[in-house]
Amino acid sequence: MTHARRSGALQDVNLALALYRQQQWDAAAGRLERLLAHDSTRDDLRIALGDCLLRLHRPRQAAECFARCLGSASQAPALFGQAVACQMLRRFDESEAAYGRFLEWEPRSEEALANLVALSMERLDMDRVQRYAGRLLEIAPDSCAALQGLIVAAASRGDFGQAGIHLQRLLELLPRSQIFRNDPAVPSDRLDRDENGTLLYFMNRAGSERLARTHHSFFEPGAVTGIAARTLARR
Amino acid sequence: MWHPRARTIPDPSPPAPPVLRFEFPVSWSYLSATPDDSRPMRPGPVIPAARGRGPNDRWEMVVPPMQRPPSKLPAPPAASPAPPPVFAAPHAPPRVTPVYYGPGVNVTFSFPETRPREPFWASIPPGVKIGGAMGIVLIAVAALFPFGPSQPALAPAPRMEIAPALPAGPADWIEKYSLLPTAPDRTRRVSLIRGSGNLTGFRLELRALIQEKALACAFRVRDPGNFFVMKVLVVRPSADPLVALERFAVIGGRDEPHAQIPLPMQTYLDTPYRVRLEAVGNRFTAWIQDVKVDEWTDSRLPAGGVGISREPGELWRLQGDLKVYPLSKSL
Repeated sequence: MTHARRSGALQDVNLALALYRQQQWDAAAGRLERLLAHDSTRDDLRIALGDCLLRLHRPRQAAECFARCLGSASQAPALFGQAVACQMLRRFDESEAAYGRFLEWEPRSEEALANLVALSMERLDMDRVQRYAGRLLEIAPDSCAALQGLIVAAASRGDFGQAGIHLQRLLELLPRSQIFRNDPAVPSDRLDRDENGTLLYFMNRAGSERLARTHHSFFEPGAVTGIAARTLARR
Repeated sequence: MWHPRARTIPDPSPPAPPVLRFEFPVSWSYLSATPDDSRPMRPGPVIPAARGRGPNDRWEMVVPPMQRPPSKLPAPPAASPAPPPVFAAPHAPPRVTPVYYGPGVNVTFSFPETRPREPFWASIPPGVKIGGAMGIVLIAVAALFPFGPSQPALAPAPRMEIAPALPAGPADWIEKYSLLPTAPDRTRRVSLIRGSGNLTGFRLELRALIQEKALACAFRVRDPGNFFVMKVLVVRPSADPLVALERFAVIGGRDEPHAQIPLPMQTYLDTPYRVRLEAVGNRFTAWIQDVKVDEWTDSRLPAGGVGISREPGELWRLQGDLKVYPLSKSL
């Protein structure tokens, strides 16, 4: 390879990485694919390409991309990327296995454990939710994902006392408006997704009322406000 | 008189609580975030070999200015990317640690041993052996039973006084103190810590992440055209990168030959580097990740300022503060 060609290749790498840093996912992915076609040993570029593909909602190609990483130095990010891609593809068994292997490398990865909580929620496997959320809470006592998972798991097994304790902690961390929804069109337990693809879980009114009765303090300000508003409206 | 509002009875039952709503997003910021030291640094297997060398690639032998003892030589990198050059060796091929630095860049080879040697004792005549043994016995006796007043065997190492770190806030820098062209379209910029003006001894400490190519500091900056530069250089960026310590002098505005020493430890592209450089008199010592990587002497610039050097294509991010502690010999 001549000097000019090598310096040209280096410029191409720099440009691709600059586009990647600027979050121009489509342009960066195109350049990274071309670079990897010439040099398939660049795992760092492959990880970046996989990230771009995930952002572009192309998880199938992302999973293939991560699977082709060669060196063990890139094994952890490749495993993590593969786990995320499989989770997006709802291939939960593969995803959980990949997260498991990734956690052998990085046992204190909050992000992987939070994703595992989300994955288990989507499966409605409350035992796993409890396990992963508990592990996450040990590492990150302020993790909202862990607290939410533990609330749902505890409420689903009827342990509203424990759920209330976690809810109280969550209320200290998140604005109330993010936890409660007054929309009466949400009648019961439901899994949903918002426009960003985030998994939403709505606890039904019965469960919410049980929590309210167990721990009046969570609902007190809202309840008082609600009563006052209703009273004013009827006058 | 009837009024509908008079008939309104407030609802005694508490309002129904709102529904709990939880979000479980899937995130993968790990793939693009800057990792810290907590990422495990495990040695990986050999990365597939790099491409062959081109006809225009330049290799050059640079004799280091100072001989380092064999025990101090850094271990060769686990995966040497280049095929060893062919040497005409009568007994066995020399153990060479080749490092490829791209075209137009000097390369340092280290030669731990070029040919097998016969045992030392076998080459000594018997008479000399006997004399030597007697001499050793005499020295041992003299050491056990000293005849005169005892003298210290070794002069004590000079004790160094370390002063508080120089202020290195945003206002404490002389930006672009030196702007030297290294190529037609490339300029090296050196910025100096204001208070480091004429230091003869110092300890520089920094922790940084290399985002592109290299991180570099400049020291003993006498004037804009005379200073030393030390870099941590990513020679081959890959999942198993080849990283080297590079140092050179800029004298009269021109780069002297670059000496490069591969880092003996495993690093990755996202490894933050802890760099320490100590200069006392004409002696310089560099540590990376608390491992002594190089030690050399150079008397050309006995004093000068300390700062950072940047060239186009080099990008690094400081993690924490850059600290320069003035050192002086205590009396």
